[in-house]
Amino acid sequence: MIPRRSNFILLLFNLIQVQSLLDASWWSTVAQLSTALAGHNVKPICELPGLSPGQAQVCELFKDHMPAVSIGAQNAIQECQRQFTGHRWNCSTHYSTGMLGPIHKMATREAAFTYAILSAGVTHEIGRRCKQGLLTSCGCSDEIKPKNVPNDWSWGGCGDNVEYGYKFSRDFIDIREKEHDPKRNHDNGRSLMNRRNNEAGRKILKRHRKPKCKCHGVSGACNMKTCWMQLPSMEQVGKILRNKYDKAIRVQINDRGNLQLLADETSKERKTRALPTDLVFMDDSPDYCRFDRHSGTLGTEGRVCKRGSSGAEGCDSLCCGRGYNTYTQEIKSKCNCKFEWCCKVVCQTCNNVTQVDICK
Amino acid sequence: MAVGAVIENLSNRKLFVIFSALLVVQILFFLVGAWYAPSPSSYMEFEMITCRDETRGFSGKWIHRDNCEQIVLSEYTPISYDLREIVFVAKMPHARDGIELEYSPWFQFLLGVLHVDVAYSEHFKYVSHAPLELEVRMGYREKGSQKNEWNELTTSNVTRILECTIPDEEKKKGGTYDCDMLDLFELGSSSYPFYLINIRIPIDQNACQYNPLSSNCQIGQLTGLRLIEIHQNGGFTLIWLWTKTLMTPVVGACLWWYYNRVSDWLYSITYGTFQINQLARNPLLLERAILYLGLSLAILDFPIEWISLTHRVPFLLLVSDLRQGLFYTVLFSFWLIFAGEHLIDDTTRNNIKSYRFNLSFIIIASGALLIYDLIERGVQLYDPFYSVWSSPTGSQIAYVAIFISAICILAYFAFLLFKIVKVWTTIKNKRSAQLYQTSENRRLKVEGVIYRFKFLMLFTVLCAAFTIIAYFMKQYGEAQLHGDEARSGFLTGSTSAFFTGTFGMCNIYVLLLLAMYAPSHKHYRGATQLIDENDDEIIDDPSNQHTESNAMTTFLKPSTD
Repeated sequence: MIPRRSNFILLLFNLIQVQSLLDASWWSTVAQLSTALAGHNVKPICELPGLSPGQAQVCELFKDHMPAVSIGAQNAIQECQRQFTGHRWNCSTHYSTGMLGPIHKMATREAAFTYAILSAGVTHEIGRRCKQGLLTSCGCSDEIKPKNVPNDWSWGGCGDNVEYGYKFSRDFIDIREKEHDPKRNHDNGRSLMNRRNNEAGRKILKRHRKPKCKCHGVSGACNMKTCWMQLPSMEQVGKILRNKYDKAIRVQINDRGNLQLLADETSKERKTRALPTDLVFMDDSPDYCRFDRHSGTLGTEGRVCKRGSSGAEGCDSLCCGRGYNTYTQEIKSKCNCKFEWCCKVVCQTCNNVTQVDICK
Repeated sequence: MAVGAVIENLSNRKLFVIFSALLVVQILFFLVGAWYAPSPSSYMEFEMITCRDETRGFSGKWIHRDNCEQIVLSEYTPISYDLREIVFVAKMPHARDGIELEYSPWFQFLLGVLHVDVAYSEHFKYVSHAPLELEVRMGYREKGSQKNEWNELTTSNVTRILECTIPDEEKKKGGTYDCDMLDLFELGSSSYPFYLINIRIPIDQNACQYNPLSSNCQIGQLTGLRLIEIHQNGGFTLIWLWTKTLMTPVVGACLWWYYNRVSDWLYSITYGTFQINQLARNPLLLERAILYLGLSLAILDFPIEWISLTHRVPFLLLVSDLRQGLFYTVLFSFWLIFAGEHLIDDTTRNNIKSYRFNLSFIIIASGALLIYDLIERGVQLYDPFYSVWSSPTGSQIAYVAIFISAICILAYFAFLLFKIVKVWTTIKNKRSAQLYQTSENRRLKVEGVIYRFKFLMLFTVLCAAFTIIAYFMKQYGEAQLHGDEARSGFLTGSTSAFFTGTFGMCNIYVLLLLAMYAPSHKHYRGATQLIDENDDEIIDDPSNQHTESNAMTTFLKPSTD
């Protein structure tokens, strides 16, 4: 089915209209959960404004999982910022609040990336905590066993923790996309897109696990072998998602309410199929060059750029042609460090005079 | 002396029936593994939590989750110089689904593998082959005891070599090394329900300054320890033990029958009604070899593991290794002797001494592996954290042992192949040249030898092919399990099926040998004349002295079947 142009324009128009979609900001709330939890205060953490009613319910049931969700989200945001340092959009948080900007009002590539990495981050952290023994509800495998055997652990052992993290992340994160929020009834496929990107993040995490095996047969022979899956680090997930971001696929919602691929103008061959691990988006990215409260962009003013670099972090690109100011900066840095395992670094302080370029 | 084996007296129809029955049994073995047994082993992963212990371990106190002052390694500033105040803690097993899991004696063994996470750091560089020293304390808790009442199991200083790699583009802040896992411990029984592990990584600053090669000086920025515990699944143990228990009486009975057959035959010859003017001889070498093969199978099958369910017997792991080693040694020797005994024109047959040279390969190979196993698993009885591979001398010994045995096994197979080819060519020559020129008896004898040889050869090749197919099915099934989406199909359960299947095949193979190559009784019926004639004929033939013969029975085949 070839999408009609008028339809698409209407769609865009609609999206801009839906201002009440304070979407991904709930993440930032979640990411701050840990500070609320740190003091062991009895504050009802599950009544944070960002959480949807369904999520609040899950939160009540799995209170011990919330620090994991929070740390997972923090790690994800950190990784996102690492991946996009020096880009016009740098996964920016609002100054000092640690909150993700309202950029996610629009169904852009950036939104897709954020959703994917956040859900991967939570899956990762839940899986990690299962391994630490912090969560007692981490499940066992569903190894087939005779019905009359009561103890599945001693019969067939326990399976992968990632599966549990995956399920929890799916239940907790995707639930808000499934709820019938009157405000979101006409979200024009936005929740479908979010779910797809969430799933993509988790799938990528799962798919890039590496098996590690140990042979323990007679004399260490490999006839007896046990393998387990090693999770990729968040850096690896970030890197893979960064590639997926570059190759994100534009979709639109069709009359039947399904996502449908849209021909990409830039690439000649038309993709007929999106993989479950592909990121999808619907809207063009806004102009990240200037501050715009309406579209939620912070602008690149005041950002540090690299003179002479032709990449994204170069001043020409980052400052969007507005030029830059050069400041001389004296930086006190640690030098001649001697490291003492594992956590102690003994250093001297050196003064370095450097020049810093900052976008106008 | 002339006597035939059972195999020569069986009609094709009977043979077919027996084979079909055995095939059904074999399939049953396979299906038991595929349907009922879970995978043979499973694992549990532990990311060790880091705790602060002001006493640096000198108080002898166990650090566990409930008294842990948890720290974040990357943010923590230690006050001690040797870093003993940082404790890595894991309690095994985890709780799951809200239930406190327990290790059961059904798990047979527990082994632990350690993953060290090392981050790239400019200040504290990782150097290849860095020695890592761990102070490990392992405690256990009984079932009914208080929640944190830990008892000492072992305390050990463990040194391992840390091997890590990092791609060049990762060599920046935040990059991580990919490190080989380290063998941590191996327990030959898992009779305690809970274990606790405390690990400290001491660092001697002075030693590091004088000699950067001392332990823990070059291990890089350690960001965490992960422990993987592996055990045999209880369900697999159950099914495995029951197959063994069911097979033991069968093998025992068959062995008894075979033994009686061999000695009964001798008895008949010596004191029987046939008045054969020949003294009782000892059983033939081949007969003895089959007997020993059966005996080693009976030893392999004997379900001694049942004891482990009620008693603490950590040496069972070693015993099971030894039993397997014994079986393979005898099996390999048997093949060699079998091939040698079928070299029709070889006059040195029926004498173990003539196989000295070739058998020495097997003895050396299994001896080397025995030494390796005794050191590795033997010492582990006292110190579960011991590993031959951890010390340079130890790993050299281990390498040498494995290398020697590998060479010997290769040489053995080369010799075996040579022997088999020789037998084949002899058979061919006999057929084309000698066979039809000599008397009928002689012809039948040679035909019998050829038949027996071909039968076992075919059967062995069939079994080997089955093992190889099963092995690849197992590999395929395992690959499926570790693909993107764990699919549960027919082949994913094939690992257990591989074990029960090959176990069943071992049994069937030996049982069939015992049954088929036992001396036959059928020549007793009115064969007196022929025996005498035959004997004379063979003794006259200088190339066939001291050998068994079967021509007569083969000659009788049409009349008795």
